[in-house]
Amino acid sequence: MRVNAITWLFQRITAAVLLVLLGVHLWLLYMNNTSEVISFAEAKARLMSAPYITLYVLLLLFGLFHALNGLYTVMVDMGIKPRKTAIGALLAVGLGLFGIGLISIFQFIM
Amino acid sequence: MSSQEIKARIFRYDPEQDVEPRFDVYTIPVIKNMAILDVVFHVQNYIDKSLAFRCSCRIGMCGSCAMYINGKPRLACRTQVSSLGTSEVTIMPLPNLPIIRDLATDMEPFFEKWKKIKPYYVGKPELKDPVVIRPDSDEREFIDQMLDCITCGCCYGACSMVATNEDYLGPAALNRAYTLVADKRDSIRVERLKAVGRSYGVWRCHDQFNCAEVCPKNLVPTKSIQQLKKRCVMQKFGVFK
Repeated sequence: MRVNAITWLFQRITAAVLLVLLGVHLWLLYMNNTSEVISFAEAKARLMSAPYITLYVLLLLFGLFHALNGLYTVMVDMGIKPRKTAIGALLAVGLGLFGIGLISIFQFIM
Repeated sequence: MSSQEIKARIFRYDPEQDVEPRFDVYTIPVIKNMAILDVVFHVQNYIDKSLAFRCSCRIGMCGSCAMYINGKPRLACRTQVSSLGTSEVTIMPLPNLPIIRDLATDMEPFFEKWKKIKPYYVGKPELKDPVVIRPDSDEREFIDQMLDCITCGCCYGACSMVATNEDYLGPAALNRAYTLVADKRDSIRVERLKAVGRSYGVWRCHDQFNCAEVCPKNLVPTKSIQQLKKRCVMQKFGVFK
């Protein structure tokens, strides 16, 4: 019950946080841009600033949890067995995607 | 076929004899205030005595005549032919349950799950009867709404999650669990909460409200399930005891 209750709660918390983060993301990209056409230099500058990096790391983390936990829920709904294999596979996919995401976000700092 | 007749397509299947199910079509004379139960009785009494179905009280109290009527689980005794607004009616057994014969389903899986949530009140030993929950309290008001379940299985037949996952406890059992978990006099609330908090319990409900849509008593099991989920989380954080 413990894991189920916590993941259920986190699924809702991440949904709410994602709504806010995606709102900020859209506002930054489409409302707060300084020029008509975004240049490479501007994009690079953004990805070197701490607030942007924090925003996208959070988006990545919450987005991945929400998506993979949602996928796992659908798998359990469909009666998948054994569940430990499914959890292991999803964790591996999640960690892999998180790693790729981090590399993309930190590419101008590394 | 005159306007005073209806065409009834009735599901026929005997698992011990038939290779596959079929539909038999009967033309039935309509009488005033005729219910679907009267239709199947007419077939059994005057056309085909071998038609199998289950019923008891005929007044919507026992819950034994639930059938899948024109694409929706309903009580046959409480469904008037005129309310369907059509001269053709398709009658099938309740979904998500094994078929015994024709329209009679085996309710055992439904009641096995019902038993899992310990559907009876266990009073705290320190309490001396009668211990009441005040009729005007919020707690009483919510429990009262959900107590009218007649275990007809309509919600169980309508639930798409039961159809997808055969282990899922289903709306009726979870609704019953909530009426007991919400009762502060009950001594096994936490134990009951743990039973419904497993992965085949409340977490399989995704608020589709199929159960509420078909409940002949107008209950909303989804609401009870939401309350159970909330209490499972509270119990995890030690707020619910």
